[in-house]
Amino acid sequence: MEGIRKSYGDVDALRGVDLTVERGQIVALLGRNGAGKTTLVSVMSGLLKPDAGAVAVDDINVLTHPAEAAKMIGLAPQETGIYRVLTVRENLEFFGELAGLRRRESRARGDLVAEQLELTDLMGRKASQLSGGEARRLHTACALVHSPEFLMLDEPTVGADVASRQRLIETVAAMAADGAAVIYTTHYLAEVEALDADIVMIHNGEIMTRGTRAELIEQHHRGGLRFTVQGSVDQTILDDLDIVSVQPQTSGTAGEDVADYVIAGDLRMPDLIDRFGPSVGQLVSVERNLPDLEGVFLAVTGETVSDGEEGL
Amino acid sequence: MRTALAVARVQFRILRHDPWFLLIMFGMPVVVIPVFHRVVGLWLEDAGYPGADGSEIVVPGQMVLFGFFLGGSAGFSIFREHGWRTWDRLRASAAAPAALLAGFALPWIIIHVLPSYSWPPRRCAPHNSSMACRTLAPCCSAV
Repeated sequence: MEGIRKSYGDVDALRGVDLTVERGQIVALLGRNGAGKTTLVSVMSGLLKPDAGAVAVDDINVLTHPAEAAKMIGLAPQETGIYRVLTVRENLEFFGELAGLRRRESRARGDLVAEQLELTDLMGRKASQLSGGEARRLHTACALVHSPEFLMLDEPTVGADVASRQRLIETVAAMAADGAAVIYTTHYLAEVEALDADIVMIHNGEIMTRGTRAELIEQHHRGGLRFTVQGSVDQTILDDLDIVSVQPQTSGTAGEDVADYVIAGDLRMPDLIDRFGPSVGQLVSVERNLPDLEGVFLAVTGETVSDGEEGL
Repeated sequence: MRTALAVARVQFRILRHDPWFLLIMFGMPVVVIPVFHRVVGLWLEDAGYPGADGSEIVVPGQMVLFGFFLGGSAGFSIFREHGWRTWDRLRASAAAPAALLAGFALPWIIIHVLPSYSWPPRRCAPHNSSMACRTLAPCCSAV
């Protein structure tokens, strides 16, 4: 996709996004809620028309030839969309037929995908009788049933248990190994690492950075320290620090407020302890801020996380 | 065509779980028409149309009435997909919009057409109408 722009009234959801996904590649879209991930997926799947820009799958223009492009696309939207009055088998067959498979072919593919996502024992069960995690697996299976060449999964593991997540990740990785291009949006950073995906960080409708986990950490990790304080700290001490995030915890043992801080920069642990001076008793713990994607995201967006806000 | 039939098949399966719709759309005309055509037949004879049995008015009247219901029901089927979050999946699929609409409408058209076969030919309007006429008349009213 090239130069994709999309606005909702005065809100710019996408501001000139360029993104290419090669065959066999998994791209993980990371960003906060409202960053534009779902809008991007909707534009790529042809559900939304962009205000400007072009989207193509294997040189087929999604905007001008949606039906041709749709045969190559498998989409599992963010919200679970299955027919709850139908059985698991009927759902899989139907979505296969919608994608252009013949009925017999669709049934065979449905059996295969059900096996991959451990739905085989549930084939005769109505979708309304499935647990949340099982329904989510069926929702994703419906996107895989026609072996799409371009797979888009929008937060596919929401509500799924650990085993379901693992199964799904294995299936997605296998499809990519077979040559499918995959776009995967999630808030679970562990999944991104498990998929060994190329990471695209999106913020306020713009792609901020792209690379593997190792590349991003090398480029953007700011080092620094992570410490916990108990009780109210002299504000002048905190003002002198390059605070990246503040996360309040539940009250400490003595009932005082407790908060975790992350600071950037080259400040060493003894220097931090010195800065606290007589208040050092409030410093509960200090450790090195180890590299992680959350830290990379904050570094890339130039934001801090404070009380009540969420990270990725 | 294959996609439209697949959508129609799913709609039939969904209807199977919601028998009230079937009862109203299929059962009501079957019950109402035999009752009303006798009353209207007497009125027509009184009005100077000897030999009229009432189906000349009641059958097309009911077909038009239930044709409107049909439009509403097919529309409701589509609206229901929004609630089930399946509409976006249908739109993002390879199915052409026309095939989707045909698939949604087909079950209702069939349900609308079937009651017209439940009366003997002499009761149909026009009298002694052919099977094709019986199928086409309600389809036209539905459209």
